[in-house]
Amino acid sequence: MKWKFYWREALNNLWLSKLRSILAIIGILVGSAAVVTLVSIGEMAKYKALSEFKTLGMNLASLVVNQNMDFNAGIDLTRTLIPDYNYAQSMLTLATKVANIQEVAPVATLSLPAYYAGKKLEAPIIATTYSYQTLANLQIQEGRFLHRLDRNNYFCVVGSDIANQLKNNGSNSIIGKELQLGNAYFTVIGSIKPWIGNAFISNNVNGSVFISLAAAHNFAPNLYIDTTLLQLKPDSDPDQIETDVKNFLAAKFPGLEVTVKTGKQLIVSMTHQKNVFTWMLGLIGGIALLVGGIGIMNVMLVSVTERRREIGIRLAIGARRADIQIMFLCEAIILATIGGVTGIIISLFITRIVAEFLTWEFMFSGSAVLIGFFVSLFTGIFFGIYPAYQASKLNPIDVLRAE
Amino acid sequence: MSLIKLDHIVKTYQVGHEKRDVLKDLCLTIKEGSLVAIIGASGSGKTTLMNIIGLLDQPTLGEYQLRGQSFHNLNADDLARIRNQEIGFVFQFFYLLPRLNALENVMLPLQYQNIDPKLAQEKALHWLEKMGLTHVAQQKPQQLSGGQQQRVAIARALVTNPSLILADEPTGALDSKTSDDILNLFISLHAHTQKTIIIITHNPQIAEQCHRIIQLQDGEIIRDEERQK
Ligand SMILES: Nc1ncnc2c1ncn2[C@@H]1O[C@H](COP(=O)(O)OP(=O)(O)OP(=O)(O)O)[C@@H](O)[C@H]1O
Ligand SMILES: [Mg+2]
Repeated sequence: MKWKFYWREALNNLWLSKLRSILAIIGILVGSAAVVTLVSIGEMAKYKALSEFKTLGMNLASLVVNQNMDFNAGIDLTRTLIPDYNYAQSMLTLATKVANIQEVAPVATLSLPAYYAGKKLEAPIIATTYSYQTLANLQIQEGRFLHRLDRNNYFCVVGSDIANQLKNNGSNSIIGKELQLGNAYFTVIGSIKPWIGNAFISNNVNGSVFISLAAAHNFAPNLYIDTTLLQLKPDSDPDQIETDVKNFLAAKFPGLEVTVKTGKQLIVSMTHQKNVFTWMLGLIGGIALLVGGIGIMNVMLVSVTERRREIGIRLAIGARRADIQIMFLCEAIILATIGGVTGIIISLFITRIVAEFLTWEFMFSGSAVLIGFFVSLFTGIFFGIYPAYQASKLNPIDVLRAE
Repeated sequence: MSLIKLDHIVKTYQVGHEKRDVLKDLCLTIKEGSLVAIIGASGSGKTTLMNIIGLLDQPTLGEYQLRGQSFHNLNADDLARIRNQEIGFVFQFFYLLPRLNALENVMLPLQYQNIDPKLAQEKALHWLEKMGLTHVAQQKPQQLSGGQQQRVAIARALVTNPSLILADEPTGALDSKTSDDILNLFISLHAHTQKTIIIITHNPQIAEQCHRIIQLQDGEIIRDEERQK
């Protein structure tokens, strides 16, 4: 019997001071929306990272060299510009020289003008080996990728965007078309399905033209190997391989600064970033809820002050302290619940927009909703306790005498 | 049997640095079923006395017993329960809750007893009917006249069927015609229920109608007169 009374009275009271109720609700709403949005985005980011690892394959590593150009030592610059043919050849032998490396794909990006049927194509040219297909997990749309035996052949494979551009210019199949790259002609032998990306590979695969490294050397002898992708054998120790690769290269090319990035390191840095991210989100959400909670407390304290006489009357005719506390707590709970639920709904929209914007897969996790709801409820109760306590402490004869 | 027994009651208030005895060594017994008027000038301690009798306040010194029970060891919630069950209050300014309608106001004391809402409503309607207020049951206090509001307050005081009714200047805010009505209501209530009723009043004519008149002056009883009716 009592509870029905409590809730009805609480609703009634809140309804009779609408403006104040709305202010308190907005406070909690902002906090709840912030928390739920942040938790949801955190979950989406986690999911995104996980799915990235899946496509990535845990056994990838990438290798980048920076030359230590020591000008004071008077080193002959032409000789230290190692990333040339020799370097590429050395890289290709890595698979046989260093244990536990399965595949190697040196990658050079050439910025030569590319033309098709006299029209310029905005396409970087990627010179690499057939292994790139396995490493980057490329799916073939039409034709085939570069092959071990292609070596010096002037063949090229195009990404999906380029393939579309070639199709716009006429026929359905693009196999056999001729592209002019720099001042050489290449025959298209295949196209690649749209590629989703990979944390290790910064190439814009969909918008590029692929040619073999050997062919590239023929007409661009000074090409520079940006990155070498490595595939490690399953269950090998990435740290050991890193040391081995560094030793191998140090012997051949002294003065090279070698950076090896392995999947393991990437995971470590991503989880680290994620922790920082989570902490920041938690902090922001916490501050928002704190503000919301203080809002509730404020509104409730004003309400207690305004209703001193009412409280005095209730106490005089037999309300226990707990009855008064519960009355105000019910109001706080109702405010917090409305604010919390509205915040969750709003955060649903925000999360949607953010997902759209980041082209992430939209997810709205049940745990985010539950966390948002209970955290709001808890905030309401926590910050409602003090005003409720203040109200129940009033002395009926004092408040009634003050009239 | 005496319902109320006050034994050497002293009530001291601290005002600034000064201590003031508002009730000075006051002794008083009131029989169950009496209709008592307490009169006295403003500031003589009438309300203070009533607050002690009504368990809203505790004496500084002395012993108060209601039906032989004393209250030293009871906490605020126990006192609230006794007030709720044993005592009905009627105040000068009615003290109805403005947000509740007449019926809800009358039901309020029952809200603090765990009784069935239907039964509570029945009881409240019963007392509203006795007060001739059935037609305004759904109205808010500010829609009612002063006399109607006071009758709602009286219904609220009676709805728990208390043995003691304490009315602090119940006609103080009403015109003389309405005052008479309210007073007659108390008198007939007393005649029908034999409840103990204590009325605080400034008005000697009202006091004349009661069975016993107690006059306070500066916290002391200067007159205590039983009247046969
Ligand atoms: N809480 C308090 N603190 C200090 N002084 C108080 C307090 N309550 C009452 N008094 C003082 O005690 C005296 C008696 O007050 P009380 O209200 O009992 O008088 P009363 O007889 O009811 O007067 P009235 O007819 O005006 O209602 C007054 O002088 C009043 O100022
Ligand atoms: Mg008084």
